[in-house]
Amino acid sequence: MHDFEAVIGLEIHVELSTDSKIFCSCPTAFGAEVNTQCCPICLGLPGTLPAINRKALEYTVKAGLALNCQIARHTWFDRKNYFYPDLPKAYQVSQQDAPLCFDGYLEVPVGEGAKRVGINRVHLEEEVGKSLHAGETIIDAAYSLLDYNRAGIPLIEIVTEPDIRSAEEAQVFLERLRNILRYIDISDCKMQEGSLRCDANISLRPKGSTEFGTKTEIKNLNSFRAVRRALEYEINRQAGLLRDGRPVEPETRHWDEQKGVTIAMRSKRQASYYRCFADPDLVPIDLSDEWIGQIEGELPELPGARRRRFIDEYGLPEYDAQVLTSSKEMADFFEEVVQGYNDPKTVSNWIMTEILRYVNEQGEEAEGIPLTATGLVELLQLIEGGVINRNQAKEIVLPEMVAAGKSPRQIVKEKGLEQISDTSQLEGIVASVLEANPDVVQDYLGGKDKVMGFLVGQVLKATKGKANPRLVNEMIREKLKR
Amino acid sequence: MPVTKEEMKRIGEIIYLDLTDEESVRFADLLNPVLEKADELLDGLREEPLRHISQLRNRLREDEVGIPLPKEKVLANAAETQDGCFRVPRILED
Repeated sequence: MHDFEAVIGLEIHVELSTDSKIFCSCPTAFGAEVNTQCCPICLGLPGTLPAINRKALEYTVKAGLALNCQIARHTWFDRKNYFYPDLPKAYQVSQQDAPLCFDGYLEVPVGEGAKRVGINRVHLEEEVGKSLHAGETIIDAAYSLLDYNRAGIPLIEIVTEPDIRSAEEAQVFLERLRNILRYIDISDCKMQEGSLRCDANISLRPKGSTEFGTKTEIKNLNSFRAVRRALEYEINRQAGLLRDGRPVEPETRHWDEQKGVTIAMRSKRQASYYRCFADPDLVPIDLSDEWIGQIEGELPELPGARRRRFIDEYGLPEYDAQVLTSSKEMADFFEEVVQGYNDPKTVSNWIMTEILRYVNEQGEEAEGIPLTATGLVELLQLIEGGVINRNQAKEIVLPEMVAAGKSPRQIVKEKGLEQISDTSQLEGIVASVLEANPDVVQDYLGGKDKVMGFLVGQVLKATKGKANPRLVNEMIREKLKR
Repeated sequence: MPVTKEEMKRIGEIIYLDLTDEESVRFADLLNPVLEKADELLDGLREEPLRHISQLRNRLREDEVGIPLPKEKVLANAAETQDGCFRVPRILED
């Protein structure tokens, strides 16, 4: 790859989390029995008339604003005609000529710096139905089964400029994008359930060239990892062809997750022609400055702004602020805990190490933080008050909080974990430990400070970890005053 | 600009009609006078195409859930069904 540069553009489809579909009142819930969320409108039966869902329109504008886009003041919907049965009408209502949002960008970190990836457009369209192919893929299917529950769920298409230069950049871009869409709460963005999907266009060109090479489009990218692996594979495949002096065919390729390869699906030599025209059933839309302003007013603080505020307001290092704001839930959680336990750096450390471990165990589709903010506040207070020590908190109490959802106080009580911070209770144990280890005591008296750890450890062992180590340390020092 | 035989063939492909050479010529000859007339009518009339006849704007509905059709009715007109789904022939062309 030293001789070539990859040119990558992404097309991302995101299902909006409205309650009803874009043009009718059918529900949009995921996982319902097949063909039970359909009506004459989304089935395209004759004589029906669609009406645009206000919330779907406003969510699209929100996405555009969050991605620094211009918002159209006048727009309409087009019919995109094609011959697949994934929509019963034989056309998809989409926006060809007048996307709601255009000319935006998203900043992504690259190496030490950051770069802007241009957003060509964000437009609103209708989701298609779900095809279940008889066969492993659409390629070898003898027939297909159609479920139209999904048909007509509002969908936005986000198209980037070809500004991405590596598989890693593509993955980082996508993670940032999903984070923003979750912040503004317009979609649950679950790649596994298909509410966020990504296709990638990729071509190579000699380093230093400004012309575009022949591109392929890769489909079936169902996770961040798939996006990265598929692009890495495709970069190598195209580089191999070009080095051998063979052409890259313009085609759509299917990512095979199991085999880790892309497979040719259909040629793009003959450009598709969708005969788009304005949908006469849907009246055009005018967006006033007031309306757009009102939608803008509903936007929450976005990740970038929040990151800067975390640095200024809580005095956190850049790295902490970055990690904590990488999901809205985690940032909200942090702020809630700090409300109750005003030591931002300690809270940040706990979240970034202990809590994040539990979140990461849930994988890419993390359902969220597995404990309450008040729970963590209480845990931190128990440590500060000397009721339990840090290790007990991490190793015994926290796992139980996550597993059983109990409060830390309750767990400490049930497990009898209260630290012994009463010298009268420890006096006898300290004395017997010193008596049992005369050699170590001699070493200490002879100036070997390091052996103190061993003596404290013996007391902790004798109390099953319940002795307050700081107190034990002080008691031994007092007894063995040199 | 009249439609050529080749363009007529391509138009046929787009709408899944396999036109012979002879048919392409015949349909182009039929189509061209219509296009000429349309050009005459539109010439100098407007810069922007007229997309909608109605002057209505912003006819929106609120995001409220209604009751969908019962499944039997959804599938009532399907040519073939299987497992509660519409069954359709192979989608990709060979």
